[in-house]
Amino acid sequence: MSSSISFLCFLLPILFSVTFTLCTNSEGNALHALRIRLSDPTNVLQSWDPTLVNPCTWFHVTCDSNNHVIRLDLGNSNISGSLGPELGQLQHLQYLELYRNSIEGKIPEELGNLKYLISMDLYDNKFEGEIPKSIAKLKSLRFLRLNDNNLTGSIPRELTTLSNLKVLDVSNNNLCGTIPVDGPFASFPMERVLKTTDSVDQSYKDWCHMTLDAEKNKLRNRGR
Amino acid sequence: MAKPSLLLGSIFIPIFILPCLSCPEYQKQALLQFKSSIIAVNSSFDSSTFGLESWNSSPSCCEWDLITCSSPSNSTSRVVIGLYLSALSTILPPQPQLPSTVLEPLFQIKSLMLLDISSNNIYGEISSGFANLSKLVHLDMMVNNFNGFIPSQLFHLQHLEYLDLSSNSLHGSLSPDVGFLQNMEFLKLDENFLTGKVPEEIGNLTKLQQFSLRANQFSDGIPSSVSYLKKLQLLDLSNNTFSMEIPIDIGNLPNISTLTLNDNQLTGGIPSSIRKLSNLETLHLENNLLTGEIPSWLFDFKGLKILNLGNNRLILNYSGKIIPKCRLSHLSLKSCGVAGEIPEWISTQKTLDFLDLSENKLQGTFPQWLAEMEVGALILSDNNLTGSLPLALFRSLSLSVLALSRNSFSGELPENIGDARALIILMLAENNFSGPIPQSIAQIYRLVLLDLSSNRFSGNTFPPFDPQGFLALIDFSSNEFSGEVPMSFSQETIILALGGNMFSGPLPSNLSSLSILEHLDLHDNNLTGELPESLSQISTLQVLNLRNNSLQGSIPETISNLSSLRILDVSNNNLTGEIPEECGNLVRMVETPNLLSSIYNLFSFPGELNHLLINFSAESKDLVVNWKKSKRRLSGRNLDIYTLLDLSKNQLSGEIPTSLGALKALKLLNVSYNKLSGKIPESFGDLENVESLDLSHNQLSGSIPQTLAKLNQLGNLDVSNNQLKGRIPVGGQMNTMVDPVYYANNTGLCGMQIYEQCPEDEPLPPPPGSSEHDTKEPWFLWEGVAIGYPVGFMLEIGIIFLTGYFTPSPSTNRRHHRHQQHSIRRRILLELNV
Repeated sequence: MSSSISFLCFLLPILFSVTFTLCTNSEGNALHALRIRLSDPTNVLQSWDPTLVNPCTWFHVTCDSNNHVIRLDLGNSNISGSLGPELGQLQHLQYLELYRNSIEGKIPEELGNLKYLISMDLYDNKFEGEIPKSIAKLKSLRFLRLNDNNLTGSIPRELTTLSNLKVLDVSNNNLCGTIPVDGPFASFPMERVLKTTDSVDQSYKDWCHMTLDAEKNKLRNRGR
Repeated sequence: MAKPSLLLGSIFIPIFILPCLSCPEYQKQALLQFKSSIIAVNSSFDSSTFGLESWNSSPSCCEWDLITCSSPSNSTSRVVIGLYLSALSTILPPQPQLPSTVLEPLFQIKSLMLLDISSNNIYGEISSGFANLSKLVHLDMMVNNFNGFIPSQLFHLQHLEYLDLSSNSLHGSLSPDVGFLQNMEFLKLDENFLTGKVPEEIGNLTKLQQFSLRANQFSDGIPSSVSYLKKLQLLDLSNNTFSMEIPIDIGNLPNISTLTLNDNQLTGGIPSSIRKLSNLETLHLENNLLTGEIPSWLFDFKGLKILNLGNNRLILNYSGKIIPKCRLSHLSLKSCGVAGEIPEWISTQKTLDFLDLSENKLQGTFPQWLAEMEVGALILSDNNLTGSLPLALFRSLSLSVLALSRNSFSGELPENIGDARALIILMLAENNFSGPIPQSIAQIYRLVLLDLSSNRFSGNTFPPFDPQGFLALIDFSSNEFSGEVPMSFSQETIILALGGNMFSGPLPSNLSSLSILEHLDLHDNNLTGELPESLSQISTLQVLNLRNNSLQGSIPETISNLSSLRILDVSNNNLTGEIPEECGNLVRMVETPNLLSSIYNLFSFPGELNHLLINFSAESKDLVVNWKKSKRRLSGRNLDIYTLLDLSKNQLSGEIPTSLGALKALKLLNVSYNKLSGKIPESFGDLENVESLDLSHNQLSGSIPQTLAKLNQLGNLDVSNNQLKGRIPVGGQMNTMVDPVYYANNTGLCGMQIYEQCPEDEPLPPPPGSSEHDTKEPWFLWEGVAIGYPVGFMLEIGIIFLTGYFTPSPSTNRRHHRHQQHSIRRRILLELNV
């Protein structure tokens, strides 16, 4: 984390001097494209006015002081639809909070471009398909909560390279295969509770843990 | 418009052969029934409510008001053929609402040829009973609240020539049955919620002269069959979501004089076939996605009066070469890439009344010829124009709108500016104007909007604006004005923006004379003294921005009288004392009803002017605030959606009043950098809309209340630099508040967010029943064990068996031992396994 911040501090001034206005607009465009994909019956995205210079004053969006979007907070927002590749354009995003909605479709491969992402909360939606291997590119990722979806396939072995990962929750999906044992997986205290929904919050007493759940998933431990 | 009176008067209808010349009894009864049913809607109504006093038991209903009967003749009785029931209610708005069922009696009057029930606030679905009125020629139902679909029975009224359903709440798509209306001359469905495609069958209405679908949600294309409508004079498809190229076939409509396609998503270029529309008078293509060059032949239409091409991606490339044959009254080339000097060919348009050249690349000075043209509205904002303004400009008695914002004009405003007596809107923001505001400006008694912001105007004397005048929107912000805050403004003032100057001294004590003020912005000045009580008397005040001044004293308890206040920013002053409990009574921060600013209804200028006024007034409402840790400009265009309370950077002390938790509509609450002590109120968990909560840099103690986990919208929480201790709440958005900076410098916070283990977590989880009720349900319910245990046991055994969980593996066992404390369930599993 601290290394990524110092990296940011070094890199950002150079970036901004060149692409300042372009960046913010492209992020606004990316969010606007997301809005078009989503169905929003309770109008939580009403404030997303694409004619503003940047999206920093939209509700549920947080920018840093350089007008880059760092948070997208749309948990519990009653939205449905699917995500698209444009989310990958939010290059500075640190928090992607889309939990407890009815979002379906695949988790876009392009989320792997969000290299500063700290937290990806897609839990309790209707995501399907596999967990994209590209997530392994998110070296700053500390929280990855994909539980309570319809994800299939296996847990990509590549995730073992996420050295900062502290919380992984993939419970209540249709995953199968073996549980990786390298990298952070080696030291994860493992939760294999029957029903995770009521354990998720309390279990943060340990900031380091993995919740896999055997109820729907068919995951196996690998013998070492 | 068909001429119903003429038409109806000349038609002879032999229906009932009766000896008397009065209307048939059944028609009279139907009319009386209609009358009694609308009066019955509300006990306070009588026949005078609807101007139906003449509808009584007198023998012939043909003598009654609002009714036309057929001409008398030898062999027939007179029958009712026309009912003019428009805007019946004679009482002041709000008009009484009438259910559509009141119309039922009228469906018995089958002889009706004209029925006008417009502007009656009728709600409900359109009855299929209209099918009975098979002789209808003219049906006007505009400005009501009809909802639901348009019943297809309406489209089988084969004599119908005129149908107006505008300004209702109709949904659904337009049925292909519309094609049966082969006698239709006038079809208007404006301002509804109609969706889908315009059916191909519209091409069957070959007698159609006026066809208007403005302000609906029609999409896809414009059907090519429109080209069969050879008699069409007016085609208005504006304000829909048509996304296609303008059909080339439109050129085959020789009689078109008004073509209104603005505010869609039309793409492509302006088709050359439009050149064939020799009768063209009005062409509205603005606010689309049209591309390419603006063809020069557009200026060859001899009859063209209105040409609006603004806000597309069109380019005007040949500004010098145009020799217009038209005599335009209205020209918009907004955002058309017009470069160079203001094109001189415009001077040939002697009747020009409206000119919008904003958002182009115009250079050079303000041309003398333009100043002398007596244009009514002159909009040149967002260009690179330089120099000072010609004196002649203000000698115009026609000039009502002058918008020059965001250019590089300089110099002082001419002393004769007050000669422009017709001015209503004067926008000079973001130029390099300097010097004082000429006193004569106060003589422009019609002036409503005056925006001089972001220039270098200076001085400490201000024009004595007439307290009885109309000047409602004033923006003098970001200049070099000094002296005391001026107060000689109109009592009609709605927006007063004086921020970013060098005003000093106290806030004026007679502020309350501005009795309908909504927006007061005095940020970044040198104001001293206390917040005057009189401030609390402006009950219309929605936005109060006093940030970055040197105000002292305490926040008056009477602040809660500001029952419209949505945005209060007093940050960075020297305010002392406690935050008054009464702040929790700021009702507009508790819930925000969708109250529109009175700007929207105060003025009733004709169309375009009102539109400009609303758009331009938004510019003066722009507000710079500390939004989620950064300085942000909130656009005045949608400022209405924000609800903020910023008390930061003062000397406020004492406890934070619990009552603040009532401010449910707040999007942002900032009390940082004060001397607040005591606990964070549990009630903050009720701030259900809050996205940014900054409590940092105070002396707050105790723990962070678990209730904060209820804040579903929280995106930014800063509690740093306090004396907080204990567990950081978990659950919901709190799980994502993990930036250690926002927890720094406290006396013992712990939790997963900051990798700090809480002492009580050490070996075992908390005993049962200790969890708070308003938090998430505890992850493990002991009550559930009794039931769950046997079931779970069997299930678990099964799963263990299936998944091979209990593959003997030394490393797994070791891990279990190492993390023994962290999961009771696993403990049970372990025990099971043993």
